[in-house]
Amino acid sequence: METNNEMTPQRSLELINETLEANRKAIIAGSGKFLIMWGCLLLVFSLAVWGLWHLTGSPVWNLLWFAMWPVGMLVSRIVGKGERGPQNYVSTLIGKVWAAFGIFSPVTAALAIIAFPMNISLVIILLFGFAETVSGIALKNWPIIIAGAIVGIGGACAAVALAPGAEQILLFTGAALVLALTGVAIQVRK
Amino acid sequence: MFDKLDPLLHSELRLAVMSVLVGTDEADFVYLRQQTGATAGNLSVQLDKLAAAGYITVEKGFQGKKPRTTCRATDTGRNAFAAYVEALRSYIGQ
Repeated sequence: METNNEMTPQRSLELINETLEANRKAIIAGSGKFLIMWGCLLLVFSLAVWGLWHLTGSPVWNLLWFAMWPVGMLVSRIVGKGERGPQNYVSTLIGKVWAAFGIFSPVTAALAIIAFPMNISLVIILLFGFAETVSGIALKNWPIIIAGAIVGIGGACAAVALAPGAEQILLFTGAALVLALTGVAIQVRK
Repeated sequence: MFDKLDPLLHSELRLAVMSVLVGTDEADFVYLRQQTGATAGNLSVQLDKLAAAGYITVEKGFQGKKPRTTCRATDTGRNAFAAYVEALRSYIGQ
């Protein structure tokens, strides 16, 4: 790109629009990578918890979930190799929505275990879908909005329909697949 | 009467840089190169001009062991960009 001072006003406006659009796409692509990473991580953890619970018959393996957030932080550092993509108010908002999910989920799960028994799968899957849909709205991206609604609403219904037990964990395996595939779809569309 | 176009922004590369920076909280040198397709030398010169005018801040630091140059649009730069877009509209609207 040259330092050309002979631009027409029309060309200047075109350039501004093109650059803003390219910027928006780059930020969405960064979110796609983020969704793939967390989708894969959730897939691994859900299969591990389900497998161990199924094999041993003990729900104590659910404690593994508490390790997912620190492991995710570590993996995102390794995957990102310390590089940060561009940040704007949308990407910051999305980061904070997922950070809120990352706080609500373990705290609610811990309270459910300690003092207030509840269908924790229902609560977490609903929060998960809600966070994904809010991310999609912020990014103005329909695949993410729809995927979040399917995971959240469908997952909540399934959590009630399924008998309590290890099989409930498979809901998160399904959510993980939707999350990762949404990320792949974003990357492909880029 | 046409509004005067800011000569500092009425340059393809500087305008592209400012368009990236007003749409982000911050962007690093590598990202700006990717988005503008500019050479490192040319981009560096234009960043210096924008920084000298107070339109952007340039911060040199490290991320891990790698050097990282981070650029941000200042309020002055954002206002100048908004005034430039308004001026463009007055041209096109005539």
